[in-house]
Amino acid sequence: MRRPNGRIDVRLLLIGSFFLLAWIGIAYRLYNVQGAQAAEFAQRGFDQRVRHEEIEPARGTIFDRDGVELAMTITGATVIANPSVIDQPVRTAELLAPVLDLNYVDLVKKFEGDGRFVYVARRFEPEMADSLAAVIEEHDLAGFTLVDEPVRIYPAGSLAAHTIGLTRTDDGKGIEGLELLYDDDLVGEPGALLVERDPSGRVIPQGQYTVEPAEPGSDIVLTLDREIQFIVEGALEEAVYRTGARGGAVVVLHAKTGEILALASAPTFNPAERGKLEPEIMRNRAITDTYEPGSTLKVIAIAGALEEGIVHPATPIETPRTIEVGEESYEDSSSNPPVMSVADVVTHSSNIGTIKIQQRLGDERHYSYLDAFGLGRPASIDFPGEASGLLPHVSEWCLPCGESAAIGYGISVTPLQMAAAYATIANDGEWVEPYLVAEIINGDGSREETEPRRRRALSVATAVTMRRLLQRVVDEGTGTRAQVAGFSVGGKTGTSNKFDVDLGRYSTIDTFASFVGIAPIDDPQIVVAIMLDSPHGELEDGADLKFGGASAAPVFATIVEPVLHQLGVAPDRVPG
Amino acid sequence: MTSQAIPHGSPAARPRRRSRSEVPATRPRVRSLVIFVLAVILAFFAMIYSRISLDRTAFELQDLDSQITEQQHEMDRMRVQVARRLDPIRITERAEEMGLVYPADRIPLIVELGSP
Repeated sequence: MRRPNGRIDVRLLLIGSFFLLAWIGIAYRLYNVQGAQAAEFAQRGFDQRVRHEEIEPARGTIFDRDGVELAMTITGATVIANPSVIDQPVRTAELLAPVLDLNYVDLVKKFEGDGRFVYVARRFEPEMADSLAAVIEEHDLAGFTLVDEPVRIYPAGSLAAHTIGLTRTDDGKGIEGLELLYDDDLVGEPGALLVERDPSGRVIPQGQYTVEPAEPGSDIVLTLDREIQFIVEGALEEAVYRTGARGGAVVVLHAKTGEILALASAPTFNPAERGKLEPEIMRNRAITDTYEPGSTLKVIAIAGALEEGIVHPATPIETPRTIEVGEESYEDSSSNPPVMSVADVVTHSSNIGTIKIQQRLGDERHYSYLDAFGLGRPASIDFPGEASGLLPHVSEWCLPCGESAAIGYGISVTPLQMAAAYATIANDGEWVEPYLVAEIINGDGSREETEPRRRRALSVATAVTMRRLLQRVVDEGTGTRAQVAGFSVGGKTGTSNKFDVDLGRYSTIDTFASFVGIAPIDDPQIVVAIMLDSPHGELEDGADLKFGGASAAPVFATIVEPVLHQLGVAPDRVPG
Repeated sequence: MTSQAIPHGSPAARPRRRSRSEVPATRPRVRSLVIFVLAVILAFFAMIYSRISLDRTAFELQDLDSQITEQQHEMDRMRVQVARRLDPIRITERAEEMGLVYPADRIPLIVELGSP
């Protein structure tokens, strides 16, 4: 910077100083970034790239006994909208409402809303997602994002809907039925993913990638046979329609193992039609509804008396037209002879005869048999909200309480409890706990099979005798409409007046009409319990449908033949 | 002293070969250095290439993972289709569309096998 004459060139000096300062600045910045704040910047960069993501576990599947899916989870989609970029909310709603099957007005409100995020529809099936994506692309609709989310599918629609239940749309948690009861097993354990992603969300190769796998939810195998369930639901729906009943329930049990082959409740619902769900139709009447069983409960007092040796089928019983017990007056519903054998008492469902037998048995022993047959406690451990029914302890029984209990009043039961009680007779006197879940298959492959509880309530001989008596009921007595061509069956009809809470007394019009039967009677395979709530009308022969023999017994016949055919049970009775 | 001319052809007139020890040291160092630099550059490029290959492979793995996931989703959809086709309600509807009806009164016959 010195000129030949030795003077300093100021311009060069200034330029040199400028560059020197620039380089000093660069060096300082370099030192700052790479040295002093290196760790901080590295951490910020790391934090931007690294994502801690939760891996949602796959919800377990619910299978029927044949391994066909009744409830399963697949990857569906959720559509999210940014209302701030939707130019034409009305037109957009017009285009999307039919695809999403949503209310057009609700959609318009969402698209016209404030904010940048709104759920339009959650967890719908992939086919709908494809259609939606096509519409969005075709009309170039802005502001929509489709994200993958698991969706719960019920391939069988309304079949066994009460039993399987529902999951919530937003978070997939079980809220009804087995989906609720086994939610902890079905949901699994979430996993974790530590991954580096670029701004576009793509995984950065060679970056951090640590996976803790999710543990999938357990699968549940039910005892339900979907084809038997279909048969039963169809028969029940037809019966409710034909009799004008408010509702009804049917239970089909495997006679010897306690497996619940079908559990139907009417009216029913379709889990895919969320908008039509009402609490009234969603309760499972077979398990949650209790009713006074009426004559179907007579078998327990009579079985107890037979077991104790107090009577035998031919023992004569005095059966006057009416009797007084305490302040209660009892009468037979039809004109019976003054003396009937025990077998005839069962065949013709004599109230007086049954009461006389119960009086011989005594309240204490009668109560013990009611308890042994599973009344007064939940029949199964498989279902949320299962009612235990009402069986007051014998110490609380009033004077006519035992007599009323003998003919099915003062005690309330569920259809499932009655099915299990008759299954005791079908199973040679051994009560078996009914159950719905055959096994649970855990995410690690281990299996938990259900072992039902068992206890002996009757001897084999008494059980066989009771089956013969029940067969007479169908062959000659009040249950002739339950006859099934080619098969030997037995059962008992029941009719109980409904207690009107508003009036504070029993109704003279509304009844619970029921029938519980066993088929085939010689080698029982199934027990079917039918209950209809307030049937009305008449059959062609003038029979009043409010009685179990007229309304419920035919349902048994409708169900049993195809069910036995489904189970491969050969006819055991020569026709005619 | 005056210099004397070196007669042509005498050993003194011939170009004197340099012995190895007299070769300037800069040539071998330059050659080695060049070779070393080339090797470093080659190694550098080899490293870059391998890194690119690894990244490319990683992207391919990601693509494969995505394809596997997509196939899994497709398999799940097929499971749903199969389960729906096995639905008795659907089968009944299809049967009715095809004109099939439930049988009328069924009369079971019991045949004694082995009887004449």
